[in-house]
Amino acid sequence: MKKTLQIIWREYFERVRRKSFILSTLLGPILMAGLIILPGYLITMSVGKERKIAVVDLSGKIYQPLYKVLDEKIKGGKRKYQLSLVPARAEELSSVKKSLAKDIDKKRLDAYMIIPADIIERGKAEYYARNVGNITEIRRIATALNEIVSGERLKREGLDPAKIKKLMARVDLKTIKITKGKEKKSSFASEYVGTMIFVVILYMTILMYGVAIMRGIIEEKSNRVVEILLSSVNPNQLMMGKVLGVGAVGLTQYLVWGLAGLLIIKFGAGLIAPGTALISATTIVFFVIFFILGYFLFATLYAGIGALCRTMEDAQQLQFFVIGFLIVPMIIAPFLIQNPSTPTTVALSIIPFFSPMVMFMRVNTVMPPLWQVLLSIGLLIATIFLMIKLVAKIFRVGILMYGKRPSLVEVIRWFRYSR
Amino acid sequence: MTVLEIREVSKSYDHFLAVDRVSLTVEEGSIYGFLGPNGAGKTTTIRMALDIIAPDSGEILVFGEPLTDQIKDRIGYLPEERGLYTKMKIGELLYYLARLKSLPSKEAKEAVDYWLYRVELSDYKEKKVEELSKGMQQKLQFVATVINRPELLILDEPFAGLDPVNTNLLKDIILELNREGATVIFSTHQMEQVERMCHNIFLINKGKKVLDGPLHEIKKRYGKNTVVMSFTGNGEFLKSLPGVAKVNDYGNYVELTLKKGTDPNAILKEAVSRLTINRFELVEPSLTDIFIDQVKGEG
Repeated sequence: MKKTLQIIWREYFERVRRKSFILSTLLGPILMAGLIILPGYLITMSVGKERKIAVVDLSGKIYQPLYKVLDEKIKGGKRKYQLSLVPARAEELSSVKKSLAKDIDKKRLDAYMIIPADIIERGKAEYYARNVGNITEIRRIATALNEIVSGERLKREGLDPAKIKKLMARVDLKTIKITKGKEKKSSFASEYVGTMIFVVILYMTILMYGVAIMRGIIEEKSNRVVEILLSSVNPNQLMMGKVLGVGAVGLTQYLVWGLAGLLIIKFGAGLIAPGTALISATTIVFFVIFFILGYFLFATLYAGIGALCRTMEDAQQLQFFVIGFLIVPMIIAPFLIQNPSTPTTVALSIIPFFSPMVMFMRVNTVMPPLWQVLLSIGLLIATIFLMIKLVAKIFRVGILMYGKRPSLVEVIRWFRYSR
Repeated sequence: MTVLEIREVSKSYDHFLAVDRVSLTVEEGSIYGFLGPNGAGKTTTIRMALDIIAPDSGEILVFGEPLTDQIKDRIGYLPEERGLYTKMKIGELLYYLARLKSLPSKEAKEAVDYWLYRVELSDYKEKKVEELSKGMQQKLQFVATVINRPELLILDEPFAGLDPVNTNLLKDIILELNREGATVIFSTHQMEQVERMCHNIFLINKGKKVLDGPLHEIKKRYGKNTVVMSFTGNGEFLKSLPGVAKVNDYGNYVELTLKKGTDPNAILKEAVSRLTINRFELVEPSLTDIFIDQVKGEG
């Protein structure tokens, strides 16, 4: 046990000190913060800027109400939409447009609008701007125009726009999820996105750290350190030390990310883009459980592949079949999340190799019966122990094989060799 | 006390019998030379002794018991295929390997400093392994083997690729540890090293034990059948003398292996008549001769 600890210690510190680890650990939260905060920040950025818009109102009926409707204020109490009326007659239009275009070019104006004389009848207007990509602003102006024009039309028919607006109010359908008999505000979209984000992180980290173990073992084989190590420790200790050490690196990374996440939520809550799913404690607990179990299972498999292969190229092929177990749940994830209780999903969530990903998806969408969760975890743990035993045997024989990669038949024969 | 006992051990890879019912007893305090041509089974035997690979049959006892992790702490092993973690700092690497041999932290640190000093690598303690020259890496590898002052030192080709200065340095350390009581087993192709250093030899060929025992006894068994002669003149004719089985011709110096029953005096008489003899001596055969003799199955 003492020796295993030494191996864990080395694996952990050698990896945690690496620049690549520090970089990816630090970049994670920055990326996370970016994804969560940036959209919100960008919105406030653009909200905080004033827009100078010239209005050529050939109908003579629009400018005043438009000025009234577009009354948002920015910091400092100034109006966001600085409208200015450009008096013009229809004949002068082309020369007026030319001079307005020049103003936009020289940045004295952000945009100008042409309101035709027959806007009420034909419902058409034009908006010219340096940037027509700011959908929020343009939609705001369009909605305002729409309101004014349709109000004018209603008035012409002798109807009261305010009354009509009230009568035509839209129905707002809220979706509420029930978890353990308690109501929880959530929508399918946020649920789906939230689950998928975690599933992707689970997939990526299991894969990343599994491959790290495999790479480490192949390196030790190719630089022959392994024989020195084996003169001090036995193959089991070496394998467990590596699996545990690298696993601890993964958990460290999660810890840093988790803390960063908490900080972002605490200090940046106001900036979080609307629609971001809130993370529940259950999600985090199950995430950690399934990471640890999934990691152990796949790390052991990867250790076995590392012991079997001489080069990374060799390993590429064998690795493919391990990745399959991880990738299948990823591919059918949309189906699983939408149908968390079909027999297929239930079966996949209990079969080891698939269960870490699939059961996590289920737990996150509709909490399955407790016995299914326990069965899944129990089977997973049993499989892990079985795999550790099996791979340790492969490890013992394979770790010193420098020649060609052995065939499956040979590997099976190895099981006899080892005591 | 018996340090290493190998009893009727066999190992085959697929259909190739690498080690065939080999037995060997290594007594405490001896220096044992493992000899044999390439692929004879030396490394396989050593790896089995360390439980790195498991034998198909037979029994191996180290310090009187089957190998355990605790016993591994009393052994130092230098594999034939060298290698270290190239990205690790030298001091940290040695400390780690010392800790794997169960040295307490403080002792491990002291051992690292002491041994780096002994092989003149103290200045490189904070450097990475990959920054060292090949010769330095070999010294480092050797230090990694002896860092726990092992009671049993197993060295697979310790002098391969070393320059004479470093060869001497390592030889001195090996002898020093041996005088302090360590048992040393080393395999090599350098017969002169073996002849000068080893008390016992073990010769293996095609997986089978060929010779085993104290070096002087083995030599005595062959008898004084070799004439060593240095001379001035043309020694060409010596090859064709009756009674000469084999000649190692170095120009002004020859080693003649005599057929059984040949009178050395007859050789001397013939030689004196045609050459100026500077030296004429009847000796035991060199280990090289014994090796070639055994491996080629001549004589």
